[in-house]
Amino acid sequence: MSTILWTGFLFLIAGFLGFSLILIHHWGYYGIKNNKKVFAKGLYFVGAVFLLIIVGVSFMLYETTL
Amino acid sequence: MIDVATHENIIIEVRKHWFALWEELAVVIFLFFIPIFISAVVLGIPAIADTIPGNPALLLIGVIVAWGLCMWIAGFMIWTEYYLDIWLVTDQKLVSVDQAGIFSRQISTVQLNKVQDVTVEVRGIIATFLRYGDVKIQTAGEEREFVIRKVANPSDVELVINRAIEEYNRDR
Repeated sequence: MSTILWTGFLFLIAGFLGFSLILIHHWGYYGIKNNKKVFAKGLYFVGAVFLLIIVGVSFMLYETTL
Repeated sequence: MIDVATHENIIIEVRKHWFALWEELAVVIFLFFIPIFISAVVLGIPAIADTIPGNPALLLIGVIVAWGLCMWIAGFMIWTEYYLDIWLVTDQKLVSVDQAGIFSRQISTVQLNKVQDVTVEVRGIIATFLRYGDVKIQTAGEEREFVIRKVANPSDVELVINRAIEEYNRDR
């Protein structure tokens, strides 16, 4: 069960990194205004990292109950 | 990148109405709640909950938040598409950037002297009250029609384009 859980978590991180690269490329290359870009980047990464931490912590806590 | 010469002045940037963005985001928000509903059902039926080893609530929280992260990313993808889908009206030409998907982008340009007709179409109760609609431009160029859908204040956009055409023709 642990292996499935952490493999899934790794896929989630990989997907997050992949899509983040696409978004950063689009925001930078296609000319989103700088103030909006900073706001969007900040909001996106703060939100995403917060959610990733919750996923990681809940999986760790779940593992202790196995 | 959008090709606007240094001597050109951008008169207006036209984007879709915020309602068009929220229509798409509403789907993402709806999808976000699906695993919460499923988890409530799973936890509510002991026969299913007992088959999950360990504390199923902790596992389901992790899965729901992981799904939430996917929806978070999807939401930003939608916003990016919305933000990059734009019309620029300059004092020389009209540039249409059609961002139909994250990997689908079409940029069309028409000189203002090639514009033959500008039409506005507002359809439906919501569009009437929120003041959005389609602006269609008939051109004499290769690409016969430019359409931007669900634009905020389409009549104002039409007015600005017509004024830009008049000034362009007067200066020539």
